[in-house]
Amino acid sequence: MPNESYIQSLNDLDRTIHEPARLMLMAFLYVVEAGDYAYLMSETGLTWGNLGAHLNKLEEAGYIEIEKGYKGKRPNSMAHLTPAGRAAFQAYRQSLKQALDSLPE
Amino acid sequence: MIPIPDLDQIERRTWTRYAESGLTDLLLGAILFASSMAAVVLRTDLPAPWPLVVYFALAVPFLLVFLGLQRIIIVPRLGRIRPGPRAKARRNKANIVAFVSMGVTVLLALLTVGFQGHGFDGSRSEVALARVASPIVMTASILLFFGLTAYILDYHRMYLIGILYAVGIGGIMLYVIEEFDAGIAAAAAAVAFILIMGTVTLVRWTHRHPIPAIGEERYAQ
Repeated sequence: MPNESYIQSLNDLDRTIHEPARLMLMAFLYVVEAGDYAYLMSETGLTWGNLGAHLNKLEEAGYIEIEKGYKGKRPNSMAHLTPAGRAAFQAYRQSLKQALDSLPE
Repeated sequence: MIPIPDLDQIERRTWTRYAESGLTDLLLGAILFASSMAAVVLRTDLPAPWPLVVYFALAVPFLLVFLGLQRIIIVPRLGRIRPGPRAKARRNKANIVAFVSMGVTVLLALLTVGFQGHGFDGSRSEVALARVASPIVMTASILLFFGLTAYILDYHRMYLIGILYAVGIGGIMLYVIEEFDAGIAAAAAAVAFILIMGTVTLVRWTHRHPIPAIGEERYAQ
């Protein structure tokens, strides 16, 4: 039976980050200063539509910022984690680790 | 339950994914080819600057083609990143290794070429340096350079490229210093191996990585 701290840790998980696609996006953005959409699509395997939807959710939560720019004549926007996003991702990892560590062998 | 993301592995991928394409292999093969051609010119009666002229006349266009192909083939497939602090530290380490190793290699190359020209009086110490010590130290510095770079960047094919470079440069030195013609054949074989390996890797990589369809303008509105 899972103990109380395990259940509490699961309850503390950030639902915005917990969705698998958004968790991937947060993890890939965590290790770089910024990445463009092609980077995120190639690493996560998300389609353009899915990527846009998940980035919107993360942006609304204040976890990422999109720097809209151009490379030559082509739009080339870069996404990066905000300080709040970095802190939220660290807290999420900690909570998930606690939850998994609490599981019986 | 979702597994905890392995950030070390993800961070490592931000480096290795660029090396996976095989394009860097092609550039390194092309640079070795330019060095081989410069060695061939060095053995002719052409005046001193010609080997350098030939080297740069080949190496600079190769570098420009590499940069162009990187922009056309690699960036649309993998995108652009601004590396994080750990990736920057890794790149700085690789740059220091490259700088020191290249410095030693260039110094030895200049010494060796110098012995071929004026001031070589044929004393035993100079002969030993030119014929034995320089090629060994040069080959060792090449192996050290490629080995450390491969280790720092997690670029495993570079270990093999390092061995092929050592064979190639060693062959070139034997060809120039000892007038041993099989040396240039060894260099040509090393060039061919690296170029074939790079081409096969690049073709397979482009098939596995189609350009993603991005409607960025729509998102930007």
